[in-house]
Amino acid sequence: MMNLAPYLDTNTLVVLCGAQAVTHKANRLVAWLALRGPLEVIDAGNRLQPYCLAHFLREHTTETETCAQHIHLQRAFTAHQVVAALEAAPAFSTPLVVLDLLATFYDETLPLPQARVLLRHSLAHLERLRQTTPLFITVRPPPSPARRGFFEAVCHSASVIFLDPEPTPVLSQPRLL
Amino acid sequence: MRAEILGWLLDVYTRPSGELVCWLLGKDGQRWLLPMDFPVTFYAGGRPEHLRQAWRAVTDSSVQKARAVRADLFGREQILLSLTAPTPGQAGALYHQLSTTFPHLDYYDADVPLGVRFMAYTGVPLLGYCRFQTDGQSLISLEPLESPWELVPSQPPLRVMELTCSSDPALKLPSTLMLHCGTWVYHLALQPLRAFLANFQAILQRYDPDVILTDYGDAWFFAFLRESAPHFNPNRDPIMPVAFQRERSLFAYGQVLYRARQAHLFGRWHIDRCNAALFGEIGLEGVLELARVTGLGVQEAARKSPGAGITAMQMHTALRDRVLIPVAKAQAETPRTLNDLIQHDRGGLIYQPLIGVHKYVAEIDFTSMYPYIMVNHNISPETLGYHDATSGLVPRTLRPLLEKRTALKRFLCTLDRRDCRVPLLQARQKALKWLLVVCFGYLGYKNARFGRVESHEAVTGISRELLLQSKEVAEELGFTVLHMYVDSLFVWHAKSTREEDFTPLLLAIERQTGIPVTLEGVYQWLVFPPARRHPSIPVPNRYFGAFNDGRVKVRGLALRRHDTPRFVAETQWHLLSLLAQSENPEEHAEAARAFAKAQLSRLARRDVPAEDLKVAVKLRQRPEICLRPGPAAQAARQLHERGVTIRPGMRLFFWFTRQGISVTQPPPEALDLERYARLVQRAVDEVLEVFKPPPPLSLQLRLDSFAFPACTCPQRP
Amino acid sequence: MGRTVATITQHLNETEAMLQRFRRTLRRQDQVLFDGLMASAHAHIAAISEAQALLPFEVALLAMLLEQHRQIAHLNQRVADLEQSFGMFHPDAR
Repeated sequence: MMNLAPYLDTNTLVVLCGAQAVTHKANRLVAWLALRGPLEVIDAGNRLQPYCLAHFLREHTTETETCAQHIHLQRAFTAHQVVAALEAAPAFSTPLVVLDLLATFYDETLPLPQARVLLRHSLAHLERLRQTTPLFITVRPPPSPARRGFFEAVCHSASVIFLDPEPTPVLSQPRLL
Repeated sequence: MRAEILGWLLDVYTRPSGELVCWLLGKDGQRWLLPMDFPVTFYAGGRPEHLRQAWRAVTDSSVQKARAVRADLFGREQILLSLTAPTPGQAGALYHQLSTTFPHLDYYDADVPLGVRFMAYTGVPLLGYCRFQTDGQSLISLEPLESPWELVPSQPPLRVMELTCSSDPALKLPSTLMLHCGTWVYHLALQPLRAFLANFQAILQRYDPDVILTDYGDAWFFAFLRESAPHFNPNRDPIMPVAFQRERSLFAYGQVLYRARQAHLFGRWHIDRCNAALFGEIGLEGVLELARVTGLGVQEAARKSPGAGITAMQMHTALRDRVLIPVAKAQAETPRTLNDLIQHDRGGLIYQPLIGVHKYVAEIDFTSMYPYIMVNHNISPETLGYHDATSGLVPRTLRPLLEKRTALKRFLCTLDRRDCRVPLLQARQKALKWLLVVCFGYLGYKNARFGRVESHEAVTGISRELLLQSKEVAEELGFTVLHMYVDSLFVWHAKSTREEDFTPLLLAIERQTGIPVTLEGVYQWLVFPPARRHPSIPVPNRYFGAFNDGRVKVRGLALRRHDTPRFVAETQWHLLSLLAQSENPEEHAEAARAFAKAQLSRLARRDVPAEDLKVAVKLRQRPEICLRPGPAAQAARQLHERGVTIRPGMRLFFWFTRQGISVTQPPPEALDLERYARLVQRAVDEVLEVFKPPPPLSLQLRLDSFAFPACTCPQRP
Repeated sequence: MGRTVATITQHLNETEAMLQRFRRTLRRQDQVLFDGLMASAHAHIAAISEAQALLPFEVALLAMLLEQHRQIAHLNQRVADLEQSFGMFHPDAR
């Protein structure tokens, strides 16, 4: 896990990009923040794995139940719900993590113009929240190029970006004979 | 001249001009297509400055604009821009234009199906008996004489034409079409085309059907008709062309589904039996019942999922009770802790059964458990957390449905099985059952207009509690609970063998839970087999047994799977029938093994028709993205090479051959008999494994050979 | 929408996968015992789920103990039956 302590500041928007960032690392991030104190989580892509998260917490503390109580979670299953959740998110100093922010915006059944409007609203809310709240967002690149702009818009609004390393090719031992 | 007529409302639709047309069938048999004045209102909500912009953007003088205050589901009043267009077509076009120009506004009541809206405003359901007035040119008034909740509604005298073809058009162009019109059957050769078209048109005009039931009508016939004879119109309404809807693959109910292209008619209905998922089970009678209670047109009700029906019913309740219907739901989940999520985000209670053969087991089922919970406990998005709330929108919608189905089931119980009304009532009862089955899932569906995930969790939470209470009741009365599965229990008692022996338990469970329970039956014997991976791991959803009345029930075995070849399924079914001949299935296990051996010999002798070895699988994803192409992807590629368009969710048929698979019937010597033999053996093992004699005595405790192991304690220094 | 938390069956399967190297290192006869132990937890999935624990594997260990206790009780009963059939008396019976 990268050291994120320097970014637990207001006016900082940390974006973690990549396939790993939205799964394993995202859960590690939430666990790490929960060990420090209360936090808000908006799960926009069904990425939070509660048992896995509890396991991470247990690796560091015996107070698993207490730390789990630190995590205030809200799930969003549509882009409209993401906007509603961000709109309702309190501008406190507790950190806010948004998991897989763009998952619902990549949904092909959501018309592109509507998705653009909703993303614009989401970014506006994030801008409002970052004034008071340490913000962490995980995103993954879109499966189709038509919505690449969404990914870039989120990255542009970031103060710090952590990128998943490119997958290294699997090395195989040369055959002896 | 004005005439007052008694009859049935069969359908409503809009013409290209935007006006609404009602298709009615008079009691005297006359068919009417009558336009009707039907203004449509929808709303836009948002910031006042945006609403003012939208107001200015609507320049059509025929559209009435007004400021409105209306309440949403949660009782929150909203200031809205109300827009009333003179026709449904104009309203649709206006909504499309506004939502494109002002995508940031929230829209309400804008995408309600026409039949639902019509039913809400006139009170006349589709297929409903009514009195109407006409001047011959248009419909002047309409009055309902029958409710959709009528237990035995009047039946419109429909004329049905059935159209089948000689082969699957995806593989081979049919040479002949068979037309069943009442007692007449016509065989029409497709070539020469001109003769076929002339004959088909003549039959259509002469018989003038209300319903055309086809095989491959969506995927092939009507598209073929359009291409080969563009001027031929199979509609009764001459103004309307056939409406085609594109094919699509969608993800629903945890699986990829394929919906072929659809061909909708006007003034008569077209139902493609191959493209209507429930048609095989509920038939035309069930489809008509769905249309009657949901308000969806017959052609939609036949093809859409029951979830669309539940949504339509909820929309009808909302329109009737003046609750706003959002086009897109924006309400997010209430924040909760991780502990709370783990505590509540769970499904129904699924027990692990006691592995083995059990005698005289009763299966007790809760009747429509989840709908009853939703109605009895008033579970709806807006009532969650309130103990004294008035009945919510979801229970208000479900109550009449639940009552009608329960009444139908009770009525069916009073009829003799040979009564000619039974099949039709069964079909209607099953159609309603499907609506009730999906209504719970729709509470948690992300796009449900009136869904909320917390309500969904509340239902499963209550169901788990009720099942645990039932277990405790059963145990207090001395029963052993062998298994519990979401809404059913399997119980045993040494002295209970007949149905009446379980009545006190049924009554006690009903008293405790407040939900009706039924005795599915008492099994003479019931088997819960172990998992393949370990002999002591139970499998919750796999069991088979024979009831006291001779019925055999099977869950989770090969014969229930859609991809099992008919020969394998029939072999397994025959084994079960053999075992069911006695109350001690062990007595027939040897005969069953002999039968299985004979079946394997038949296979080895190539004495099995190739059709019985055909495998059907559903394509789950696009074949080109499969890294390791399985049989389905291979079949898709072969079909693609033959020019067939393949989409995810399609069901593909093929045979296992020594070279891999083949989508066309291979010669007998090319079949991969070893693979089929493995499938048969596996199906046989699923049934007979549990009847194998116990292992030799070596593992049993024998006192004479028992010896304590030598002490190997380490020596102390 | 609907449930997003993994089921207990999924969780136990994942834990088993995590313990794969542990299992692999065991002797063949111990692997059989290990599989039996894990299977005994699978017989109580519903009860483990109802415990609503953050760390369900801790409750799964209790389920394994329960199955062991059942076997002990069963063997005790068999020993008592055999003793009776051979005319032996349990020391506590005196």
